[in-house]
Amino acid sequence: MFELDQLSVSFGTATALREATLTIRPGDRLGVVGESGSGKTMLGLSLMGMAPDAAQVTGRLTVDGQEMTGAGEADWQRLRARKVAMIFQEPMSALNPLRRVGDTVADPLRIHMGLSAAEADARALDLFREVGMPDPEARLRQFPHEMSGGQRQRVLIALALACDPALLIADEPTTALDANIRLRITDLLARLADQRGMALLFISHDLAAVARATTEIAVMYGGDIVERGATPAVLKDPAHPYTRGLLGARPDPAPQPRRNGKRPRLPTIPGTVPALGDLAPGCRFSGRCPVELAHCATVRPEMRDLGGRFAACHALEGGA
Amino acid sequence: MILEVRNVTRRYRLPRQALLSAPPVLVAVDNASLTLERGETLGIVGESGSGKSTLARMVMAFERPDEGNIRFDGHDLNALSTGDLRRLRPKFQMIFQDPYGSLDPRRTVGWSIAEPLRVMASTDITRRVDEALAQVGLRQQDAAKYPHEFSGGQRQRIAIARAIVTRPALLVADEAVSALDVSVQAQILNLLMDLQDELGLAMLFISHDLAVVASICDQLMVMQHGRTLESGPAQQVLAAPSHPYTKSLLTAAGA
Ligand SMILES: Nc1ncnc2c1ncn2[C@@H]1O[C@H](COP(=O)(O)OP(=O)(O)OP(=O)(O)O)[C@@H](O)[C@H]1O
Ligand SMILES: Nc1ncnc2c1ncn2[C@@H]1O[C@H](COP(=O)(O)OP(=O)(O)O)[C@@H](O)[C@H]1O
Ligand code: SF4
Ligand SMILES: [Mg+2]
Ligand SMILES: [Mg+2]
Repeated sequence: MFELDQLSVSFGTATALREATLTIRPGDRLGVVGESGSGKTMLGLSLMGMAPDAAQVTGRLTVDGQEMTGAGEADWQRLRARKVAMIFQEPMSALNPLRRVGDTVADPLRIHMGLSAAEADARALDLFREVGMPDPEARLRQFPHEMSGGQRQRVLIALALACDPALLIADEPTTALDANIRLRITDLLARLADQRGMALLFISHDLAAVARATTEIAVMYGGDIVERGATPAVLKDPAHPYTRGLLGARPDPAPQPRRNGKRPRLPTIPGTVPALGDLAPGCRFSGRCPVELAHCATVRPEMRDLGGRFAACHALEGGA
Repeated sequence: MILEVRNVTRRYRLPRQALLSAPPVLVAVDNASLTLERGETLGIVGESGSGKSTLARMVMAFERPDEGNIRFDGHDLNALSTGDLRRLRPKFQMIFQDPYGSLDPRRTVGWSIAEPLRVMASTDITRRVDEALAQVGLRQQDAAKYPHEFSGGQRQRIAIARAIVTRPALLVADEAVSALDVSVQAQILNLLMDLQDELGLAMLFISHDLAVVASICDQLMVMQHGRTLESGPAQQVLAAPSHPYTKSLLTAAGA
């Protein structure tokens, strides 16, 4: 079990992640959505003890009761070898172009799990089968550039699964892929999590993928978790104005005929995400919010319980 | 009709497998045809490697088809002399997925936007750059800044300003919104629709995201392995896809 308590990541005076409080239990499938720069990757990296050197990390993180706050690199390495693994957005840059992908997967099995070379190779083949790699025996001997984007992403998933992590963090795992392959990788991650009883942190700005892969969702804006709850509930009936804006901006795959010669415009969130240092001290969404109140920019809204769902917004106070 | 692509094929020779064997040939675009009217948008969807960008490069006359021909505003692009092609170029412009790659990082944004005008030896450059900036929702002062001072969405606006500064009749957009967050993507799609209404632009809009294409296109063409699987009015293709691949795209888009 991973417990974050008021975890913050800042660069000087700029706060990339502000007091994130979150619990991830075995088997949870949690989606993290939000625009670029909202702090999703920082959240993922903090769970691995991999925040950038320039960052100051405050708050608490405990893993299965073990205090990781202020842990040394040796403790983090042990955690990464046994309990948590992360896959990144760009599969090409995460793989060694000069090594056969089978060896890339077998290496950590020998090094961290103490398997013999033959055992590690056999396990790598099992993993390739588990992630649905087509023609797995032959693929083990290929180099990354000989594979498609979807196949490379499967190699990275196999690599992440090699050490049986309790938590798999997938940071935009499908952004570089086309629609059909995106769907298959998304479903694969959800299935693997269920089959293995593994927790999944699925980071994405692709709302359709998050809807398929996760049971819980956390919405981030400007370094804050602004809304949290069961995925279907949040997507169907978003409480936070930012979540509503984000969902509204998604184009609809249904045909959009012209009206009087004009094409209907998409709903948008006006303005742009401010630079980190320019975020308001109160609600980060103030300045772009359509229902903003007078005190929003200065007073930070508390996370409120809306009946098993949570949102931080002054406009919800008193009402709910 | 502003654009007519007729039976266009493009083949690439791949590296020889063995010294004496004939080099294998990849048919990147196989007998593609399309027509586009002024003020209309034609969307091209298809998976990675299906030939979308290759087709776009031929429409832009960056490369030649091996077979077939392409007419832009009545001119057969491959029959034009280099000089005639250069003079015609301001009338058809392109925007790419990665606006960072297409903007020179060492030049001010104003300089980059003005570049296509200098080719035309246009006189009122400053005024037209200001006008283009305003049309894409940026400010006059932004002309003096450098690309790294802007967000991804703003850089895409700059790339669009540069493409429309010559008042083209056709805009080719290759995955122009694919790298953007949904909220920024919606802003840019609306901007393209505004520009189309304002300038009567025709657009060739390439994307692997069917929902995005559905929101902006009049006509739709679906490609796979270089071949055209189906094409027609977007509403018709989306409401009653005739090919299983198009159906699978619709499922993937969550329709
Ligand atoms: N200069 C080239 N030499 C050899 N093959 C090429 C060349 N350019 C493109 N191809 C091949 O032609 C096919 C079509 O490529 P193209 O770039 O048009 O695809 P696309 O539909 O735009 O894909 P994506 O969605 O990934 O951008 C691919 O198999 C590609 O590898
Ligand atoms: N090394 C760094 N120095 C300063 N700011 C950084 C650094 N790394 C990331 N940031 C900032 O932290 C914020 C959150 O980044 P990130 O977690 O990567 O966002 P996301 O993954 O949601 O796109 C961004 O504004 C980013 O620019
Ligand atoms: S707290 Fe205020 S500014 Fe923030 S989302 Fe709610 S109403 Fe809008
Ligand atoms: Mg990120
Ligand atoms: Mg392409």
